[in-house]
Amino acid sequence: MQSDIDAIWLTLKLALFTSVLLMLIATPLAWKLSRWQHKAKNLVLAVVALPLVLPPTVLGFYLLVVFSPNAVAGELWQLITGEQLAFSFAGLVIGSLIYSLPFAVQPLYASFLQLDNRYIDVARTMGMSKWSRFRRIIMPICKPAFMVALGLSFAHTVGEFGVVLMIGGNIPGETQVLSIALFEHVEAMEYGKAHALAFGLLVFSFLLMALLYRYNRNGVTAWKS
Amino acid sequence: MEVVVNTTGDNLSLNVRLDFPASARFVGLSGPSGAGKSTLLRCLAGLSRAAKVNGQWDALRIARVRTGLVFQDSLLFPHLSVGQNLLLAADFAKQQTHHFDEVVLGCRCHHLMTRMPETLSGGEAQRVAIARAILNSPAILLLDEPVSALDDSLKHEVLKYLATLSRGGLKILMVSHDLRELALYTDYMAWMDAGTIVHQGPSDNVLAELTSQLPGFEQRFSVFTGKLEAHLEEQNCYAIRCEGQLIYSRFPVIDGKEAMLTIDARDISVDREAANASSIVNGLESIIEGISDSQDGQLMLTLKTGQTQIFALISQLSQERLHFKVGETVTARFKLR
Repeated sequence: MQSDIDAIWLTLKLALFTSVLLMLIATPLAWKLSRWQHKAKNLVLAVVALPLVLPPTVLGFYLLVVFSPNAVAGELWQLITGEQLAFSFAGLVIGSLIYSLPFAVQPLYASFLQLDNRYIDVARTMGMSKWSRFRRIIMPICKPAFMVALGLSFAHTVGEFGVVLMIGGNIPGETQVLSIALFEHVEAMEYGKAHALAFGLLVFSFLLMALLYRYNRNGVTAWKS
Repeated sequence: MEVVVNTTGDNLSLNVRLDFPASARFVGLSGPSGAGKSTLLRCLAGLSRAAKVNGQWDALRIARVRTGLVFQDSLLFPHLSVGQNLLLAADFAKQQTHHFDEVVLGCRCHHLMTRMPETLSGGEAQRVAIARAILNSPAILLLDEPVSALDDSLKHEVLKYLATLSRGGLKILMVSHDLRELALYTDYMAWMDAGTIVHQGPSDNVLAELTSQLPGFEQRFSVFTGKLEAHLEEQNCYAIRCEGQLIYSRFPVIDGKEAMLTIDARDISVDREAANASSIVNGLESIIEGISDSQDGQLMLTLKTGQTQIFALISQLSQERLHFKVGETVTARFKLR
């Protein structure tokens, strides 16, 4: 039971870290992409979208290779922090960032594309700085997209399985997330415990999605012009 | 004022030289669609990186000063109420040159403050957009068809307010398709075509040039100026003494003791009855100076009373019935509006 609670706690922590960090990464990335006119743009979009179609185990496998102390990234991490990246919480966060990146970038990218550039022109003629324009004009107008991006990347990280199994393994309290705890219960034929976790995840995911759709509908209808 | 703008776009390259005396405060810009008027405004506002903008307007370096731009669409920030849109603009002004309440009242948006932009009509949104631009305290205000969505009475109220601001020192460059509007309110005017300025100068001169030079372009309206005699509150109109005769109007442009109005040639009728023998209030005794064919089988009568030229568009049928001749004295009539 305690290990289940640990798993829930760890999962929420991982999802929170990942989704908040993703907002910081995905926002400038989506903005640049939405304003970028270059032949290579489609390639970059494809790379960002790759985790949508790639089997999580493939992503997990290559991350594991990169994280290994023999690889440059893994070695560098070990040099700086003194710990190894594979089978650690930090490794999980990095894996989740890549795994959930398209879920954060896509809604923001679509919203930035739709944003009428002339709002920004008006703000510029008013003498608003880049940061003011972003905070006072772009962010509020695109708020529904930010909520969707945050919600989707949170929910997607909560439901992560394959990547975690590959790069995190199954260390209780360190890398054992909900979906893996669930898998363990099934393996051990503890169907009652498995059901509790599975049903909890189902309800949680459903509620989050319902909330997002409701919010997004309001967001869209409130500002139709 | 001398401003040079050069830019090369996808389908239009701009090569503009605006040349006006420093005293020019309210400048009009017109021309056919696609002439580059909106592009020119964007360049002047500093929104086009590729554009080279050089020059001064009354000691103001165009590329350096704060320029306000009001687009054809109002582009109010959709997440902010009208009041918040206006306050945001005022917040980012370098200094407060206009009194908030005065601007709000002048643009007739005092009753809209708590409304959200999506609930406004086109005309209301345009007024708010003008107020927002003014509250940002620009040194130069650029307006792209700012009053096209307003009905007549509001249009003139807002334009009158803009004229007041321009007399107070704000420099205004306004794009409009309505030459009457420009002739009434602006002191200088430029006519633009295919990315260059074709005519520019005092508004009256430009209008005269346009009339005489552009094929197919006709002077379609008359300009009446005179002394403001009275404001008849009960009848809701102004009395103006023009060429010794009284004319009445609801929306003249008033500048101190002077008043001015324009009447479309289609709205002027011509007859031989005495000036006061009709239900139409305004009747000016005048002499026919010319009769020429106009489009759609109509005739353009050029009349003169004193120094004022009047243009009246009449049908062939009327001419066959009445046989107007050059030199004849007639009454030019138009309704009080």
